[in-house]
Amino acid sequence: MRTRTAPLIPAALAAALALALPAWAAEPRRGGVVNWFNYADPTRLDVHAESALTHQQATAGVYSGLLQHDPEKPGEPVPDLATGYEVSGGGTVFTFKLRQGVKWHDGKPFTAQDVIATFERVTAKDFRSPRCGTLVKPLLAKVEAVDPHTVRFTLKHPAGTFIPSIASAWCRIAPKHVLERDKNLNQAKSIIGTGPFKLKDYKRGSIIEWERNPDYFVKGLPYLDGVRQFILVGRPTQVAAAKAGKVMLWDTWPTMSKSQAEEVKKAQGNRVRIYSWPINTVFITYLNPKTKPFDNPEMRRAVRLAINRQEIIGKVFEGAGTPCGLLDPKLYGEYALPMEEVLKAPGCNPASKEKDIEEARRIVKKHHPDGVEIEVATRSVADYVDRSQLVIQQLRKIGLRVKFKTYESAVGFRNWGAGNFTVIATQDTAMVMSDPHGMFALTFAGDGGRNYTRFGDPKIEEFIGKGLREIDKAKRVKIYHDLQRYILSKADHPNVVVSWIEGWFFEDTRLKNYRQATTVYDNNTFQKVWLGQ
Amino acid sequence: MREYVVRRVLLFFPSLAGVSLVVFALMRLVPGDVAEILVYSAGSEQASVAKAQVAKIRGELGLDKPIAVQYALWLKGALQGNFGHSYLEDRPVREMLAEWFPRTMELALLTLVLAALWAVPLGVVSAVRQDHWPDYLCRSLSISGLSVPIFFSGVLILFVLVRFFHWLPPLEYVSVWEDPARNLQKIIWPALAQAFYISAPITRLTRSQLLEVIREDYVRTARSKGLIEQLVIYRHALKNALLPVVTFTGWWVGRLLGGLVVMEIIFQVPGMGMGLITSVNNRDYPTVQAIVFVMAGVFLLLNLIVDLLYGWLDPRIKYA
Amino acid sequence: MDTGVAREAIERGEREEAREEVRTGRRELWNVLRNFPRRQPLGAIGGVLVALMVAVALLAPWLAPHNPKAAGFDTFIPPGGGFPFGTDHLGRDVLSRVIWGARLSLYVGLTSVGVGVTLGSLWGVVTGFFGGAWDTVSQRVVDTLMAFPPIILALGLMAVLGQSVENVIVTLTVLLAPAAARTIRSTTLGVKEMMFIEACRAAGLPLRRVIARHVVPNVMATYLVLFSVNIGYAIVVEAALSFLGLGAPPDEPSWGGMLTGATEHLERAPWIALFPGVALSLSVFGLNLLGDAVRDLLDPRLRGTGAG
Repeated sequence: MRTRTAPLIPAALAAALALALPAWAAEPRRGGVVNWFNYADPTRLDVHAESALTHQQATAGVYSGLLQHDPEKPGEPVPDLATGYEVSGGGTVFTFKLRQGVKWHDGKPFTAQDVIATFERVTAKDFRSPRCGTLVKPLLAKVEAVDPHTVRFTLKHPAGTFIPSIASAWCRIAPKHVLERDKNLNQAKSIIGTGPFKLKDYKRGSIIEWERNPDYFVKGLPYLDGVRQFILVGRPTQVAAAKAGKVMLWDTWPTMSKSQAEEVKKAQGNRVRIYSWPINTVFITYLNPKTKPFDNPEMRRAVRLAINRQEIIGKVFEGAGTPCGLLDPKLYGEYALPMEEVLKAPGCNPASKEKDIEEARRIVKKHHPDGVEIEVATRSVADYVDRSQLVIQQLRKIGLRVKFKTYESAVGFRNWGAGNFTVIATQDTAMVMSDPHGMFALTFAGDGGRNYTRFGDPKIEEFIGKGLREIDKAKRVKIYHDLQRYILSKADHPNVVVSWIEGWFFEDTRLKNYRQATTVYDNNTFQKVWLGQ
Repeated sequence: MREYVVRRVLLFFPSLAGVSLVVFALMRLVPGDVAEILVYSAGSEQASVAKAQVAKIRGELGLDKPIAVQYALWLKGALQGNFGHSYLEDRPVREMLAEWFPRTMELALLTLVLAALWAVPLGVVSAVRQDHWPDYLCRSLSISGLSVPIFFSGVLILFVLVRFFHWLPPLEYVSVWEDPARNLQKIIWPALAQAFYISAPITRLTRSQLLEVIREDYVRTARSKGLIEQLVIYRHALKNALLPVVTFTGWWVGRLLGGLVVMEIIFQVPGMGMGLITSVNNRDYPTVQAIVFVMAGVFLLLNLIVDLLYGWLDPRIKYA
Repeated sequence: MDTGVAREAIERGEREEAREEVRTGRRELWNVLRNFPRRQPLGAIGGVLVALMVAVALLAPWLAPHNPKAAGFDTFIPPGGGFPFGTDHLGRDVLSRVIWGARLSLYVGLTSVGVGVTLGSLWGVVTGFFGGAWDTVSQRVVDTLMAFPPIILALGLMAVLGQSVENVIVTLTVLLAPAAARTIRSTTLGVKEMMFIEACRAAGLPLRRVIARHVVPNVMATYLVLFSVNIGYAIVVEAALSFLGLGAPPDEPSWGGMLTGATEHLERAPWIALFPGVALSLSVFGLNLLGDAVRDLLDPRLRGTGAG
């Protein structure tokens, strides 16, 4: 049996590092309140039971996990409530040591029982936990307390996704006594955490306020007195608030376009810094392989050749996107196939686009000499509607007669779920982790929640299973590279990856030490953020 | 007369029941329910799991019962003032209405005050200077309000405030009791835009009423006696002419309760309209039903009051 | 008096009356038209604006330089040169979209008002004329539909029916019909009580004739007023639906949809909003001015509740 200690920095050292900032950075200043916004009114606050960012970010700073994304180094899991963990049993047993003397916001002590209660809750048969639950439920065989400050997780099999899952902002630890008292965490009164901030007030439809937790277990943190999330629905309102300097940070969904970011810069001048950052969200066009004309693999190939990813990225995202690839190299690092190789795949190479379109036109002509009419649908979401029209324009170029159909958001989801479509022009899927498993399990496994074509391929399933169980990084990289090559070579696959999306954002220059995570959901705790003068 | 009043009051109820039935049916005709939205928008579960979850949520919320049974249950609750439990917010709908209703009502009243302040003078000038250029100008002004889609005037107001005045209304909604000044800073803008939009019919009514009254004998007599024209108008004509304008404006309150949806969205006023859109989008049936029930109830009630008021004030009206 | 004789007398009278009506009608129509600009200068301005809109709508295929749906050009080209109104955020020619938008708006306005107001009016005439239990029931239906917040009725219907231009028209029809039914019914009630109709019925003229010959013409004025004031309203409601994401499909060149899309680019590309905005506002302004003038001419007492 192989036992190894996780290469995690001890908490004390981490805290010390946080204070020992680079020489150019000023001494962190205590105090101040950050004005931020939430793009919707969350209404229910239970992070274990919800799936949208609005719910997650509402209480992000209130909770802690066993691990968390490093606030200063995006994508790295670091200890939070745990001080570290040990792996044994061939990668199936994880033993977490917990911090001692941690108090819940209501003063009760934090123990291993809270961790057990949390994971028993999200993995319970009758409990719907679309994020944390779907991450850990398939893996977890048993979770038990070794002593009041040690928890042991036993997995059904080794899994590379386990540690990233535990570090996910969706797997936050909730207090056992509150879960027993309130049965759910929907209402503000149930929001008791161990995080750097307490939930001070939630005025529905208006504002969510956090205040400093004076008993936070990392001494000296947080620096901020509080964080205020104004509930601002709709991008025109959000952009207006940004231009008027009423919010200090725009880091999440929905993203700004480049020109909107530039407008904010123009209005606020040196008070803000604008930047672009990938949001770990993939934009896929789905062709229904069960109905005409895309039951014909050749026709699917034609579409793959016809879609001009670079044009769509250029026009709709103003350049902020990564075309074609199955994993975004900016987020998935060595797991992602290098772009040079990706761009050689059919339809992906901008240099041969004219030839590809010519070829696609020939295919359509061959199978449908009199042309063919197809219905291209999308959900009635402003961004989707815009993009779809470019996709349609490109499909028209190869001789398809396109009828554009938009569905009210909920109706659209229902139709996609039921396989009731010919082409879905665009549907985004935001990843919960920057582990490669998520992308393929969700959108390429035959039963994946976002694989609307239900197109299964035994070879792909096999890769996915192997990738999940492998814990040796080099071997995993190899598996995922092979998987990507395989999918890219299948030119008739009905799920056409158009692009990984980047967004434009801004932050007030007084805001220090804020780093965007590798998912939109993580690192919204403001644990180490501070406000300069 | 008494018979008319009783009958008119009794007719209030079938209409309200009709509204509740229509909204109930309409919401169930709209494809997709809250269970599907919860499960499919997450999209994180495997397809087979998702299907089971949809069924399970439906069972928990009673959505698998026959529709007639669901309606009967809802109506029974509603009649006792219990509008059910919101799926969306996991709390009683009544509590939500108690928060939203006063905000929208305040916005509606402010809108009407502004509309009256703008539209009635236009109507008066227009009548007094009938068929001269001030008449044309005033009518054009009031009609121009109808001609710009309300969402666009709202967006334009926001844009101009930010772009040229570097100012934005407070982001946080504060009730008028807490801080009237901040409250006004936020709701004055949607009220202005909406008032501009609804002013045309008020101007028109003021004008036509005034024209009618001006033609009446006593006004002519007063005029022939050489009193100052302005005085005549204000003392005699306006008083008589404005009564229907006031009642008509009252009627607008009912209409506005459901008409402020777009303004509430653009200016982030967490009222009935915003609640309505969110709950329709999420198929939160109990909430949609309650909001529409209340909006329609207020509308019908105001109609009733206006009708009865007319009957009482103007005995010439026949109770057909 | 023998009913047969009375009936003949009435029929003779009707024929005579009809001939006279045609003669005076022609004269009057000419007089009204000739005096219209002088007596209703605002209405005349409205008429010109509406005529312009109709002309653009009719000539759209010849006037528009490009396909309004084609998203093939560069994005955000400012007005001037090859694109007099510039291009939008998807690289579509704004001028072509504005021109085709006139046709779409007119189509939506005319058909929805045509169908909605006509059906509503028929409904009002029939129930008003016959009265009785059906009238009571129908009145409750009208009450119910009118008490319903229009925006929620529209949203619900669009979600049920699905997004298409035709369904926008169906939805607008449902919004417009009840109000028309109510107004026409009360006019019908007034007409019904007039002496000559009582006389006709006493004389045993077929009911169909009485309605067609006497009731309908008298109700016609109200109908025309309703028709003219509601077209602008229909166009504006379509725009509001677009804003809520449930108007005409987004590739259709609807002015409301174009304005909605433009709200995100006001600073960078104001022309995307400016041109459809001006087109929509001028058209609706014109329609409303004209509608008001028609109302003044035909029925000076009708009180407007048209703008719900």
